[in-house]
Amino acid sequence: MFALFVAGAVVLAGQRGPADPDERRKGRLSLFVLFVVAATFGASLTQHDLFPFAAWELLPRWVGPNWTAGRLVGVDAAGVEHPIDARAWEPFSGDELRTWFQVVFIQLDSATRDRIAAHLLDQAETARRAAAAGKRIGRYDRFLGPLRAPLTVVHPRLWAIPDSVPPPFVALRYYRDRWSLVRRVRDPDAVSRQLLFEYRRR
Amino acid sequence: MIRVNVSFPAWWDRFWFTPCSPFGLAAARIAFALYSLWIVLSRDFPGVAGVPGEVWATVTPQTRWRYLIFPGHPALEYVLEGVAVAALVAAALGWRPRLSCLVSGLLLYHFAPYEALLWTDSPYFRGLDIPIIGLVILSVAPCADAWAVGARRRPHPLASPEYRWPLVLLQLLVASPYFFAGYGKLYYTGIRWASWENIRNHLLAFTQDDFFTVYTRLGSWVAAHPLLCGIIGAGTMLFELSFILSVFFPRLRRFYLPAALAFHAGILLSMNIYWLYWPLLAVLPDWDAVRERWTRLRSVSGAGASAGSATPLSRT
Repeated sequence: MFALFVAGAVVLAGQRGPADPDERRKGRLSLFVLFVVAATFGASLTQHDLFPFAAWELLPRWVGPNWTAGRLVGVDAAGVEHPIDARAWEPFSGDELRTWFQVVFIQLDSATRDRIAAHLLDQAETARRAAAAGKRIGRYDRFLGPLRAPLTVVHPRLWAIPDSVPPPFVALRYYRDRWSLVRRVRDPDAVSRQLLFEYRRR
Repeated sequence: MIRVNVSFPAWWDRFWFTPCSPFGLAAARIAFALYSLWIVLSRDFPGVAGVPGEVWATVTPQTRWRYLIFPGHPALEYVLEGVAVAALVAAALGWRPRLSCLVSGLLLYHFAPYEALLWTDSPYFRGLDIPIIGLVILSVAPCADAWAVGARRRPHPLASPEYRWPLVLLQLLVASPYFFAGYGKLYYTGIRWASWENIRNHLLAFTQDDFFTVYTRLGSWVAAHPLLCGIIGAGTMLFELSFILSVFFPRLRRFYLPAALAFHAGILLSMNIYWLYWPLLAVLPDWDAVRERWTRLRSVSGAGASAGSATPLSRT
């Protein structure tokens, strides 16, 4: 679909007409316009992927009384768990990495999971050390600083000041958290946690 | 009795090919190029190419070929990123727009899936889908006849249908996600989506999940008020499904433009969701009117009354 779209654009660009296009040129332009409109509406109305023509499913589902979310935490030498600043995962987007853990990672064989977790633990630890030293962490800020485009979901800058940075990590854990949305309003700790994966540095 | 005589070909011709000035299209070119530059400079797509091979193991060869992604060559990807940045700067300046818009559109297509490819090959809603289509459309259009490098040296362009059809197409492109977001809700959940209970649960989920709890007060407060949740649910559906009317009836933009900005600010503050595409709303204002007002303002302030002697041109 995209190849057709680009081919149509290249053909039309090569035939750019005068300020007042004749009927023939208008006919070709109309065909191109029709194609773009059909692709845009076709992808969305049928909810099919024709990227970059998108389905635009933006929170279209019913949200029930319970919520489930994956959670990656770092573990220090004393066994205390700490949330990890989303910027530590860059160049991965924290959102995508979390979904990838949910969808893909958990189904990989254990040796592969360990190799990937070792890389991620190193990455988190490198970012942690940089934050503790008051340096910039992550990759996305490198050109535009605070003016960079946020991710689709915004994340707290947990390690914004060196005092908020936890001690060195020796392990990485992945949990599946589940809670009742209404119950958690009254009791923020009312979360059931299931440990799905742990990697400890050898 | 009123007789409505609507001829579709006549309507089509009027809607897409009424001659208009080059300024709206020039503004669209600048908005699309600068916006895309903002996204590219705020990510590290080539960096993802350099992560361990195991991470890429589940991405199918078909998907890699579709986007021409061959992991393990970050240096090459950094070169391509540099080319994309140069092409976008050239597009923003209106320098070689046909080439710069096409090249940047193609490179953005290559880079767009990097963020999400690890688990989905449909990376929409991450900032680059609309710009890819928009930049390719701009590569067909005479989008650098105004507000571009060297444009002042050329004769003042006359109103033309060639400035109209791409601008309207871009406006439709920017407005369509609103409509389809509403349509998707009806498609998957039906009118029940707008119920107070669903809105409350959305708000609570997005303010309780520790991973993205930057703003929590507004969402929690609204979630505690069922009537407000119901109003927001119905209002969201109505707004999303009707926003597209602003493309067909430009006067409505006076309401829909500020309403859209308020809508996105509300969602950010209550649900921590950032609508990346808001700068692309710049394709909707009447740029001839903005330009005339600016010229008048400059004349009044005496800062160069002769500088902007605008020729009145038919508006978009």
